[in-house]
Order: sequence, then structure tokens, then C-alpha cells
Amino acid sequence: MILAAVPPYDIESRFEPGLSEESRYVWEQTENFRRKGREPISFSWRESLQGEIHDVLRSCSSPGWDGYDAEPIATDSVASAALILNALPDHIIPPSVTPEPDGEIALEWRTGRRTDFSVSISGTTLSYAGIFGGSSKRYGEEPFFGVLPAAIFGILAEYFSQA
Amino acid sequence: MSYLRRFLEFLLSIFLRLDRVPNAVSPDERTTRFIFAEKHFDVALGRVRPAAFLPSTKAGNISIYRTSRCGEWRIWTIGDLFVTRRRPDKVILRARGDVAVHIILHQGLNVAADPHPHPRHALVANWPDDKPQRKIRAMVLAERATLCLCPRA
Repeated sequence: MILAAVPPYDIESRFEPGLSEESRYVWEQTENFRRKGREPISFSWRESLQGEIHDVLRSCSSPGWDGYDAEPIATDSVASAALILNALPDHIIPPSVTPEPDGEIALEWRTGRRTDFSVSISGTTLSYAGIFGGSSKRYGEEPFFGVLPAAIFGILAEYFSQA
Repeated sequence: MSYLRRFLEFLLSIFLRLDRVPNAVSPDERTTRFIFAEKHFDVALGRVRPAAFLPSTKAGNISIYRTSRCGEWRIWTIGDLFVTRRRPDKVILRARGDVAVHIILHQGLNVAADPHPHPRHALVANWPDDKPQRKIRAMVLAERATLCLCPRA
């Protein structure tokens, strides 16, 4: 289900674009706000996570960023993580973004039922690992060319769909 | 004052190095993985994230400390003096994940004493070359680890 966040009242009706620079600026900002407010929330989490991925690049770009001997997160890893993000289905809960010591970025999911799942990419190979219900484990590698492999899609649909 | 503080820290590090632990690592020992990256633990969920336990490609192992019979002050001071202060970038110690040796051994990994820079230092080795298998082992360690936040961060 896609939810739309809509302002509680129509702001535009309270303003008319006047002639001054300030008036135009206020009107443009108001229009941006109304446009953003009508975007589906499902798009918003992707944008938010794109920002988080870039934050990871900024904070983990030096060797040893983890306090040990981690490889710096490279721009290639950022691009790869963004590709996975764009391939994710809309109906799942948003993942969290985690830098890994080998210089890759992982997208991770967790539910309260001791279920963890992590996906990261190196080149055109997706590595994934998951623990489900505290005991069942699945892990492996799949080729990735922009479309989520069936194995990973199935796991996300089974365990991490939005209610 | 800064000279005095550094001198006191030097004396403290000498005192902490006098720690004696057996070379053989016992399965029921507690071990500690110090965590410096904010995204390697989740405060809201109170858990360590798997990436905190993943080895880098350079080392192929992870550095831990054997902290059985250590009080909170000693553990955090070891992390401060023997990990943080030794780094030129002075990354901030933010948290730690405590996990028992037998949980590490159950994943097919080794825990070996490595008494430099501190007698309680050890290395977790024998990680598989395969990334998914490293991830699943790190995931188990993270799931079984106890997260403690650094009071000085």
C-alpha cells in the first residue's frame, strides 16, 4: 500500500505569487513543499537511503575508518549500493546502510523475530547472508545486472514485506 | 597539565600491562570487540551489527580482547589506552560487543592469544575466503554479542 503524506490544508490558497523576490521565493518553496508532500512515502525512503549511502562514503573514506584496518569505502561501492537500492521492490521495509571493512556497503534488514538479512555487492556479484527465526540460515552469491535475483527477491518478500 | 596527564596515562598503561592471563584460551572466557564505527551498532535495538565482526581483506582476522574477570573501568581503559590512543587518527571508541569464546569456536573460527600490545589481546582467525560465509559467521557473532555503550564517548 502506498501512502501519501499531504499537508493538512492547502497552503497555496493562502498565498498569491507577488512581484517581489521574497514573495516569489516563498511561493516557490511552498510549491516544493506541496509537491514533496504528495510524493508516495515509498519513494522517500529510497531518497533518504541514497543520502545515507553518501554519508557513509564521506565518513568511511579513510583507511582504518573502523578503528582497525578497514579498506576505504570507494565510489564504486556507493554506485553499486545505489543500484541495489533502486532494484529493491517498493513493498518491503526499508533497509539500513552499513559500511563493511572490505570497502563494500551492505543493506541490512532485521525484524524482531531474530531475523537478519544482509546484502552487499562487489562488481557484478551480490553476496547475501541471513538468519531467519534464529536458526535457519541462507547465504550465497548471485550475479547482479540491475535486476534483483529471484533468491533475494523471495527472501525479502517472505520476511521483510510491509504489513 | 597535559604533560602530567600523559605521564599518568603512561604509568597506567604500565600497570595494565602487568595483567597476566593464561596463553591457552578457554571456551568459557568472555571476549570483547571494541567498536569505533557508529554504523556498526544499533543503539535503538541494543545490538551489534554483523559488520563489527567482519575481518578486513588486509588482515584476514579480527582483533579482540579477553576480558573475563575485568571490571568495566579496566575494559574501557584498555580500549582507550591500547587501541584508541595508539592510532594516529584517534578514532573515538563508541561501544563494544562482548561474546563468549565458545560461540566463536562454534562457527569454526580460531581464537589465539596475541599478547601485543596487551596481554589480553587475541585474534579471531580461520575465516573462510568466501564472503557469504564470512557474513553468516559475523551475523551469528553479532546476534549473540552483548552491546555495551562507551560511557566516555
